Amino acid sequence: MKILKTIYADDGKILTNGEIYGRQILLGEGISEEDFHEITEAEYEEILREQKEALPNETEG
Amino acid sequence: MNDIYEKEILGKLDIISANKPRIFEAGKAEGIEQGKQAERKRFWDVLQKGGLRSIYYAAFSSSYYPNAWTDEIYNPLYEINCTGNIENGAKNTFFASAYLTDIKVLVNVEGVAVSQTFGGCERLIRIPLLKVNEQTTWLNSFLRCYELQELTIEGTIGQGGLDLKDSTKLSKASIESVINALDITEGRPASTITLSLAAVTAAFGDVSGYNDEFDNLCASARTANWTISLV
Repeated sequence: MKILKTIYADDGKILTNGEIYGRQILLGEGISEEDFHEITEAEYEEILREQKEALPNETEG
Repeated sequence: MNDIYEKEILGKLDIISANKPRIFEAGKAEGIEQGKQAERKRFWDVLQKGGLRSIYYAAFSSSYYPNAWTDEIYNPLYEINCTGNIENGAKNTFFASAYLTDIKVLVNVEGVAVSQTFGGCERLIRIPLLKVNEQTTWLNSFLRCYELQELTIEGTIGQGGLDLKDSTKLSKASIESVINALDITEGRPASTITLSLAAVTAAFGDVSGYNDEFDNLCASARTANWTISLV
């Protein structure tokens, strides 16, 4: 049975593989640790901001 | 003898007469309240089509007070059944409804996109029951649900993308409900859910190393190709 790994970002960093983001990631069986790299929290906040800007306007419902 | 009885009866009639206005007003107030309740029931009966409505696109969205939906005026009679349209059945149903704290009834999103459904519900505390199935999809479903504590899942989560990172107050029972709902069918594709690290830590203690309880909770899901991200 494959040992399931958890990976942790350094302080102030976020792990990502381009789709998944997290400070701590409990990897599923089909995901490899090698696919992940760290980005800064500022970079992550920028990604979140861009995602939120893509949401509909509140007045439009 | 008759004089005594007559006096007694007249005395009682005087008491009744003195209380008539008070009794009338109380009855009137009760009648008004009953009328209001009947109107409220009629409103929700029409809005929810007697329980047959199945598309709730943007039905309760918008946060612009005083026109916003509040706990006082949001009183559905029936469950919120969103299954009538895959794309729009649940889209933006409560989007930006920033004054609601309690959804109050079951929300059925089986087979549909939970697209911004609760997004922007910044004061929402409780979703009593969210009914899902393996085809239910997720997109910004709980974005900015900062106060969410209670979320109970009925059914099986089969699609990835469920993101609860903003729900830092999510209860232990709710976290367990979500993880226990993850599809563990053998051979299923790799998928991800995201939880708040703060919520998980508050619920299970320090998870920065091996945490017996949390790791056991997640084990079956991870074996079935679920990745659980904590932000």
